[in-house]
Amino acid sequence: MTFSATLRLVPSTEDDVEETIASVARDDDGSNEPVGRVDPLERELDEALARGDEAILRALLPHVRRWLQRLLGNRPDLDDATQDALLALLDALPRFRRESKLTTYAHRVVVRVAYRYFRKRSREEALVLVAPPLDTLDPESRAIDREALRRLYRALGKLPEKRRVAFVLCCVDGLEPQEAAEIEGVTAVAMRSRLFHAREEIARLLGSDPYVQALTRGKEVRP
Amino acid sequence: MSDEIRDPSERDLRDADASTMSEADARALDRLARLAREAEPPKLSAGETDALVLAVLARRKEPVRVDSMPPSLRDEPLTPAERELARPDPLETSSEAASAREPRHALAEERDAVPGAPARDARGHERARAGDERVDAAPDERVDERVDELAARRADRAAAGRRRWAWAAAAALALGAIGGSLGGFAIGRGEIARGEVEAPSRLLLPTGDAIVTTPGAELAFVESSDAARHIEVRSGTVLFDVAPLAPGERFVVNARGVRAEVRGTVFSVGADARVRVYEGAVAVEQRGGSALVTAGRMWVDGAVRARDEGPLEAQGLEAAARRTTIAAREVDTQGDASDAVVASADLAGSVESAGAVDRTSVANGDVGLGGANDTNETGANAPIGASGVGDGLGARAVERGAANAPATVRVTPDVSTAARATSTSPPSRRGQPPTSPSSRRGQPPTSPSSRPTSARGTNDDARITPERLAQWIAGGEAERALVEARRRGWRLSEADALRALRRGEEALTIYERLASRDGYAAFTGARVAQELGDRQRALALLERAPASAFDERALGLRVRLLVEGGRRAEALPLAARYVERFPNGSLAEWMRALPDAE
Repeated sequence: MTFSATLRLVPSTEDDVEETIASVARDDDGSNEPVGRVDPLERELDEALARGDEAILRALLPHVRRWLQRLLGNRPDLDDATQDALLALLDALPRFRRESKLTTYAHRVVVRVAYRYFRKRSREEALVLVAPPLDTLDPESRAIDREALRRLYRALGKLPEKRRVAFVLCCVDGLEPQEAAEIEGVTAVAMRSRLFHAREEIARLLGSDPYVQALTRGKEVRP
Repeated sequence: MSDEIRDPSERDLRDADASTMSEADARALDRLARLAREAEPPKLSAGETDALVLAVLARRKEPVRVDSMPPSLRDEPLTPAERELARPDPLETSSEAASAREPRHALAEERDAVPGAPARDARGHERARAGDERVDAAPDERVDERVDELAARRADRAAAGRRRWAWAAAAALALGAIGGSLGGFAIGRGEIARGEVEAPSRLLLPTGDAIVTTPGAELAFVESSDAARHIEVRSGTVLFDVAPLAPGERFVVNARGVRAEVRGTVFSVGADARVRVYEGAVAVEQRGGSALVTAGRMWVDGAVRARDEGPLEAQGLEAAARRTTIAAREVDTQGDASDAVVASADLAGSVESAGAVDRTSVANGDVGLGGANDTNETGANAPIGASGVGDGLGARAVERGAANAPATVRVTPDVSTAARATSTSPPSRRGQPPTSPSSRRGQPPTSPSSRPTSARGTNDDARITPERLAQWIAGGEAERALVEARRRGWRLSEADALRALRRGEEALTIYERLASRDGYAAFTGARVAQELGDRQRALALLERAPASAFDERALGLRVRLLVEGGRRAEALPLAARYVERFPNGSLAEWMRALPDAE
């Protein structure tokens, strides 16, 4: 994976969260800019879309799962959520008007499904399958990573959902606030504002967390 | 796309957050975000992908074009498992059984009262809770813990709803793989999972079922749907510790030659065609013979005898003991210890506590099935985790217990076994048969002897069952199913076949005739009517629908049809009822929003 610096955070002076609540709810039909370039994934999805429901579901599945995992964290009902999201996509895709990227459109549908799941408490945490993270690390740092990740998601759980989504879309998925805004159906300014607040809040919640500190300071700190 | 990862650079973030966020915090956040990004979800195998995609297509609400998809996937209610559930119980043929049903019925099912049909809804969950509370009163801490576990699991189960099983097998494999105990599983379409277990191993399914096997055991997940788990044991010995099932849910184990059906039971099945029952009761079928085998007995060579010591004896006894301990406590807390039958009948109704394993036939190994209302996830209580956990396999399975006996061989429980020292009545006595499905469904009962006794092998006429017809229909052989259904006078199968053949009008006529007696017919008929564009007829069917496992969907469809037909005023109270009855129903959110919607 390559990491390039593209995220730009512009703290918004206005708290436009309220304003955006309504706009998030509205459906996507073309309020977004048409997309010029066609990336390979987009083309692949397009072709799959043309081949029918099953094809498009298969094509979207890995992405949907990844998006959901990032939005929801490690949860035992990830697959349930995936099913729900795919189902929602089946319903939504016929309304896709190519006024945004297909991925953006799909991501939007997935985010909406994720909102539903935010409210569901997961009880089976013990059974959660933890995806193996970076293999280059020794087991101990891996354990720290996992724990830190868990704490991140716990903190995310305390955030207002919109800010949580903003954080995941921008920081985890690495989308531009503009793209994230498209997905959420809000203005870029609103997205930036949410992102800003999300980061503030997470930093506040996790600032003194030993695991999180261990992450940044390196392995010398053992919580 | 998310694949093109762009990392928020520290500098950018610092610029942005300089005023409020420390550099360290910003860095920590970035690191966390990166971690989250790199934590990919577990990879899906091709089979799992298939299962997921098919499950989604099957769940799709709008009817899909008929020719674009196998009939089984066309409509929600037509999952083979549900179809099977809605079928007459092969073991339940006597009218005596039907009449015996009422009391339990009243206890358990007042509203959803169509025994024999899968009643999977929030109510099952409520009942489970009620039962748990009783058990919680028991002083034994261990019991409490386990009951908590149970409650949590039940809650999850209820929440996850019917999707769950599409995934359970796959997830089980994932878990098994993580434990390092399962090798070589591959999941395909027809057969959800198959593989060989290499070492004595313990698998935990996400549903809470535990499976313990001897080395070399081979099992196959024949069916894994929301309504049924169907596992075939091909060799070795396998002990199932079945978690509480939602009402209507079934746990089926098949092996060669023998088919056993269990309710609230701990039992083992061997490939030597021996079924040993440690607790509860098992309905066994083998080559035309059948019997209700109760605790302390075993099925061997077509006859019922006192149980001998089987390969998984210790585990079976332990599971049974644990189960009966809890059952006894439940009874005690009701102050009704003297009448175990009544108490546990009540229990069965309220907690759905009778475990059940529906079908067991035996291959060349042993299968131990633990179906106790006890759970063991950690193995803390059972060394190998061979505890039996089979909470109510759902209304139908539970209910069947009592009443099957008349139709088959009645076996008196043998009270001498340690395992059952504290045994409350086996489910065989607490349960009542479902309404004779045959009468409800307009299909004649099949005699037990005409039922298949094995999943493989015999291939004669006697193997034709409504389930089989449903499979044919699902597999695109609707013509054939239609012929057989007509020959046997199985009206519902006939209707299903007609529907699959896109002869909706003919199918609808039959459904309409059966609708007032059969929730499935009413609901399916309504769907057909809807497909035919006849909303009035669909609504008429739904109005007549008796309570059944299809309540949730029937009500949902009714509301939708009313809304579509511009009859919001009528729809709203029904929507409210839906929300009340099925707060976790698939349409609950939509229903809640309905009053505010335009």
